[in-house]
Amino acid sequence: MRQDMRKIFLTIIILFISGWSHFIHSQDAFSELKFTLTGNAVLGGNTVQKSWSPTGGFGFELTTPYYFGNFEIGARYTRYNELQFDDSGFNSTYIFAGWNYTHYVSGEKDLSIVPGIRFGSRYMIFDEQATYRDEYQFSRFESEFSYEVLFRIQYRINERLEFYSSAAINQTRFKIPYAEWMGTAGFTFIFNTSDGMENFLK
Amino acid sequence: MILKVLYMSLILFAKPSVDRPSEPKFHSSAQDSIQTEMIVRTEDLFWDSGWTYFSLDRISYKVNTGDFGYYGPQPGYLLDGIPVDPTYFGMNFPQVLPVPLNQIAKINTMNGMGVAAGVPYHSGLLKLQSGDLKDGLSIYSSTQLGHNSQEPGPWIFDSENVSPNIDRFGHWLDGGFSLKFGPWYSKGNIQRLSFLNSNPFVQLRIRNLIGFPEESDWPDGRSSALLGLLETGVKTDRLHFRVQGIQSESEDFLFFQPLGREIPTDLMSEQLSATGEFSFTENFGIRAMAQYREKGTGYRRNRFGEEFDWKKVEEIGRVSLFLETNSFEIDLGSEYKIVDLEASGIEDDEQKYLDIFFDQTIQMSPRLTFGSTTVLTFHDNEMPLQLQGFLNFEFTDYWSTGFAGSYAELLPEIANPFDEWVANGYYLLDQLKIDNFVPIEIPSTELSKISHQHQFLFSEKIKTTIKATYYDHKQFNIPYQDAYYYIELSTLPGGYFLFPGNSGHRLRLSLKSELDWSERLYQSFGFYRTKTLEGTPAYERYWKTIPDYIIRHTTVFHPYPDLEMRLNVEYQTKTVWEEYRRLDGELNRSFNVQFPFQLYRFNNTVSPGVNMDLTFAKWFWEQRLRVVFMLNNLLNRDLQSHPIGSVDGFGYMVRFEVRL
Repeated sequence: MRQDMRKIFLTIIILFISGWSHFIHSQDAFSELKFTLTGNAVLGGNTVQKSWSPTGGFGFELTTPYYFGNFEIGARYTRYNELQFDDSGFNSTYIFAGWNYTHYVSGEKDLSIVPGIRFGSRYMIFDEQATYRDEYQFSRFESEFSYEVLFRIQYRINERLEFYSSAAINQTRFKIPYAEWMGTAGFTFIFNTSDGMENFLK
Repeated sequence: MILKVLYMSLILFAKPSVDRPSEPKFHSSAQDSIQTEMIVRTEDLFWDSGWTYFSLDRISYKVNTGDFGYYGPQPGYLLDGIPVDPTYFGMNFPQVLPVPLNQIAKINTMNGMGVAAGVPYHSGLLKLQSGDLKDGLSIYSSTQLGHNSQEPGPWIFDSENVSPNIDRFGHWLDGGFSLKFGPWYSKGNIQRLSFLNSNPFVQLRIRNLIGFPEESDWPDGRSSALLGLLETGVKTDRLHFRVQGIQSESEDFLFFQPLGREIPTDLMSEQLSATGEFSFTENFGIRAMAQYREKGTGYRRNRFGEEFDWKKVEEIGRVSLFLETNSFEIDLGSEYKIVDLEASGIEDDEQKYLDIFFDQTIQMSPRLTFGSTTVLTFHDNEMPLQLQGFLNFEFTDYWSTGFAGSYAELLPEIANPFDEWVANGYYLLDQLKIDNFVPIEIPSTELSKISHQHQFLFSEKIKTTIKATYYDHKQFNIPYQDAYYYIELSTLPGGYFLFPGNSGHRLRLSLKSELDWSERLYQSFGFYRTKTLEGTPAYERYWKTIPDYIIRHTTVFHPYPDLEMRLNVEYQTKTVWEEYRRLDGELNRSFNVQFPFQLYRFNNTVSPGVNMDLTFAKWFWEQRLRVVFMLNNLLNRDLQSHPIGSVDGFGYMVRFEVRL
């Protein structure tokens, strides 16, 4: 209980501090749109990797600057082949929305580090229906809340192109804890937003 | 872990950027700024009230406004000035309110008895206000879904470790329109709702009550509802006339206290209203309202031939004169109601009620305000009286104090309607094989209250209200059922009693601070302490179902015009439910398919709990689209509000809204 109260008060205080500091040094929100194509691989994980073997995957992200930091949405596909449990292979797609912050580490603003957080849902489609005692058939579809913390290094090649590489720790809140480290690399294409798009995002 | 992640994100959010400095560029929305209460769940309706509530499925609720406990009269609902009644057998089903939750722009809570917009209420009132209509055609729609964590994931194939957990909130889908040309307007909405709670405790609801059905006869655990509203009217400076129709049908589960469980129940309601308000002068006018309301219940799957059908028809007429000036307000009027009940054992039971009410507030001097409300009811040969008065005095611009007192006598038709029906021949309990001990003559309920409050304005931004209320329940009827443990069906109903002649005294202390730091940051802290000072043994046991202490905190943060965050934190102390004492400590099992087989334990004491919900909302397209994302129970504690209610951990909800 004492630990809970500590967390609650900490959250309230952080929100309070945020309330006073949020308007400092804001940027031009939604001025550009970044489209990123990524490849990804599972770098490590917990019990899930004892029963399933992930393969490489791919994904996309859409990112736009907000008044402070950046908003993003995206999806990431990964295939998991069965090691245990017959016909238990599945396709997983993580659909997320997140926020990240770009911190430039070079004077030319071509190299940056980007910490961020994502919330979303992991959707799974199993190859076959699970059946128990030849009687109960479960759905092939499954989903659960999933979040991840990411850290990436980003290099701006030119006005319209970026490259990045990132690592993220993902946790999906299944009954049995599901955690994995995900490595991602991708190229980002940068566009200026039209007035219409900017209005839509606001 | 999730807390650490949130802290990290919030800290990052709080950290000022130094890399790309520029002034904030806030857009000016093409639409009017839309302010809503950001209600995501039905329980959010009660959050700011200071009331307590419990639920078995986190959708339907029993509410204690402080006056009569959970089994007394429930609060009234006033939607845009027209009364609606989403209660069945004393259980609130806010999901069948004829307005989508996201369209509720403002909630005002009234305590105790009184009169609002010419409508008398007995035990609190929720005044709900939907948003203003825009000229021309407007449409809106939203969908909402969510669930609790703990899904089996890929381990669904591992029958030694997990079972299919299929808790699903939603999806909810609604749509509506409004048309407004000059003084004339029309509006309507339709909602389709669905909910599935498969928590082991809640599974009790789908067991049969007095025997075992065939396998295929078990009712579905899902609840669903379909409802809609149509309204048209004319509104000018002098006249506001409107006609409204609402209808709802749902397959749900009704917590039926005399049974100590939920019953799979079909719920239906229809309501037609015609209301007019005409101002003779700027200050003086007349209100009139005619309402026809029909509510009914049926059994979702009746295998044993019981007659559960119940139907209540109300025909209501109200008229009142109002006078409003800068220094005083008066509302004088009458309500005439004919209630016709059809149920097993009751035929042509027509009851007539006439209420005469007088409500006034007078500013006697710049610093002194006096108000009073009197409601006199005529029913058969009885003439119960409700009255209240208050006196407010401003010592300074920053400190005011007030005294209030009230007396209410409630007929059993208002305070204990189910028992009154049983006394008049309703034999539902006999069909359920429940021994009942309800007196033929049920006395009225009597309550006197006095309260004293101080309000401090420490600055323009900080307001604190401290209030003490003393309750004297002079005559109090307490319903009581004795749930037994029965391994095959989990619980069996014991005897059902209505204990009249109880009395006692209670004290309630409240402290609420509102901190309006800026247009972007608002916080509130509420502290509520209730205590039974003395009373009959049944009285003292009854009030143990209400937590002694409640603390509620809210932070609402708008960092930018298109983004809103809301944090709600609540702490409640334990509650003890005497009615379930025979279940205490008993092991029980899930009836659903479950691997491995698990047992859980009943407990008639609901543990203290801390809950923390965090909600984000982002607007798009100049406030035409909104995405709302709520994380429930961030601490992932097992939260329960009733001994046989669901035990919920971490969960989430997401809602998409569009309005054009």
